[in-house]
Amino acid sequence: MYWVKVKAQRFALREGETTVGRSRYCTIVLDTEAASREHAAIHHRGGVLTLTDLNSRNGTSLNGSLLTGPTLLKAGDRITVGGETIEIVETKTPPEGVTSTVETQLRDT
Amino acid sequence: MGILIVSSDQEAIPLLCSALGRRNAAYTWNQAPSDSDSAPLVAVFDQELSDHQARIADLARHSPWCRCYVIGPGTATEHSGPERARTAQFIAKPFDAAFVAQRLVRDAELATLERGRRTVETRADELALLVQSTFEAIIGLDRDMRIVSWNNGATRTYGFTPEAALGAHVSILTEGVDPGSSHRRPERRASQTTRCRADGKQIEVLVSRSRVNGEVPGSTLEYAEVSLDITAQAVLERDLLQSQQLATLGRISATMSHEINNPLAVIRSCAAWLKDFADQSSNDELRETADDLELASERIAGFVDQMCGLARRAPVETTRAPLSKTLESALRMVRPRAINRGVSLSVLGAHDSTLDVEHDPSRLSQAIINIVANAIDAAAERGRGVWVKIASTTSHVRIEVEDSGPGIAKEMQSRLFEAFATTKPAGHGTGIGLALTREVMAEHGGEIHLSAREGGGTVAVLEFPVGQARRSP
Repeated sequence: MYWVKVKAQRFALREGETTVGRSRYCTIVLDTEAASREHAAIHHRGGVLTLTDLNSRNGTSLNGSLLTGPTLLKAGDRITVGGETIEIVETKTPPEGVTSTVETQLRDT
Repeated sequence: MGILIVSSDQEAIPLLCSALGRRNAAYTWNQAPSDSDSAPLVAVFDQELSDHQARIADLARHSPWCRCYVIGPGTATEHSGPERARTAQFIAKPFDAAFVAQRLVRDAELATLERGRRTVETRADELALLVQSTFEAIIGLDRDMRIVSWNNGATRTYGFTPEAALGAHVSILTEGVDPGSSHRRPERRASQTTRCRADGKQIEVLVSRSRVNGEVPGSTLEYAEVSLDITAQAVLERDLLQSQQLATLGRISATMSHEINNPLAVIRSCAAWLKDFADQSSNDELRETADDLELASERIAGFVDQMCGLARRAPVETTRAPLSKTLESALRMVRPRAINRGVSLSVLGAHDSTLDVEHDPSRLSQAIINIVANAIDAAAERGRGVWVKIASTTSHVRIEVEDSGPGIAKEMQSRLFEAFATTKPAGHGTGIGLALTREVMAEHGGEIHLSAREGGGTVAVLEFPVGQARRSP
């Protein structure tokens, strides 16, 4: 099971796409002017993680080097977006005190 | 077309659209899809819509598979989207655009599957309805010729319920039908055949059978058969044929009588002249010859009249005369035939024939000649005996002609009175005799019966009313 660690928060990496950016409509919202509205996306499919820069103004770095195209991720990788660091964590069981994902946003009227 | 987005939100929708774009999903934003044939499968609306937006949003109403979402701040409230959207799911802002895009794409995929499944079901229902509504019998058979499909037309045509027919062998439709008669194995090309209904009634059907192309998993269907009941038309055709035969007979006899009567008139006037000459010269030998000549030509004239009589109803000239005279003259005509063929001809009860009976001597004698000649021909084959019996009551005369012949074949019995139907070898019988005899009996208010006895032999009975009978002095 994969997680992302941003500052003190941890998010479970769901299957599909997780977006990172300044916009309130991203999965992970970064409150910094250096990040683009829609900055980067992590794609998760069957245990394979891919990092893609979404044409951000300042670019996305992986372990200190600037990303030039979609790149595979592994546990322990550090992503830098607008000065913020996002760490990829892998665990066997869910740790405690985890921020829930966005599924709760959808509800019937 | 897949996803329809109708929204004024410039902050959320660009992110939603780029997430959809990364998934290669088909979508439109604030505009009707260019492909007007395909309705949206998923729709996303703002809670509040302008009139223009509401018109686009109405597209979702006409799509039976469309799943709707409404986006808005905070909580769900009334919205101006289409009616269908009132059952929509509400997505509160701000939302994770990537996650919502994922959800929209999955819904579109499910709706596509559902639409495909429903389309297949609709086609199957339509096809079943088509088969059930068809007037013709449509029957499906497996490779062992057992019935696996049976429509309403088949129930109507053959009288078997689906419960009785399904699983049964197709031979239930030909049970009791003489295999030699007209039963044929159906082919692709429609052909006429005789079949049998559940109630035992035989019907004529036009039937075609073809091998089914392709296979349906779990189905044993191998042949498709379509048949149409044409019994009514077949009967009509038979009647028409018979009336055509009679019309042909009429034309032939009209021509014949014309061609015979003209030279016959010459012969008769010559005979008359010869008689005068013989009387004047008191030549008895010549006189006898002239009488023979006159008698012979009268016979020819009588025959021609009878031929015509079958086709056109000449007025019947009845006189009150002793039956014995007519009978005698008729038997005199057939006796040479009996002698020639070695058949003994006996007459019983001749004393009754002294009755005075209202009849047409020429026509009645022809009728008697016909049936006695038939009896002689039959007796020549077997037994060599013919018996003519005359019996009478106060009201009716009955002439029975019995022979020792082989009887009448079953398949011929129903056709005996048809014109041109004959049991005699080709060139030996015209098939006119019995038809004419029945005609004559009808003219006399009587009937003819034919019955084949067990162990061979046939009895023909002429029966007709005597009129005001009295014994001749």
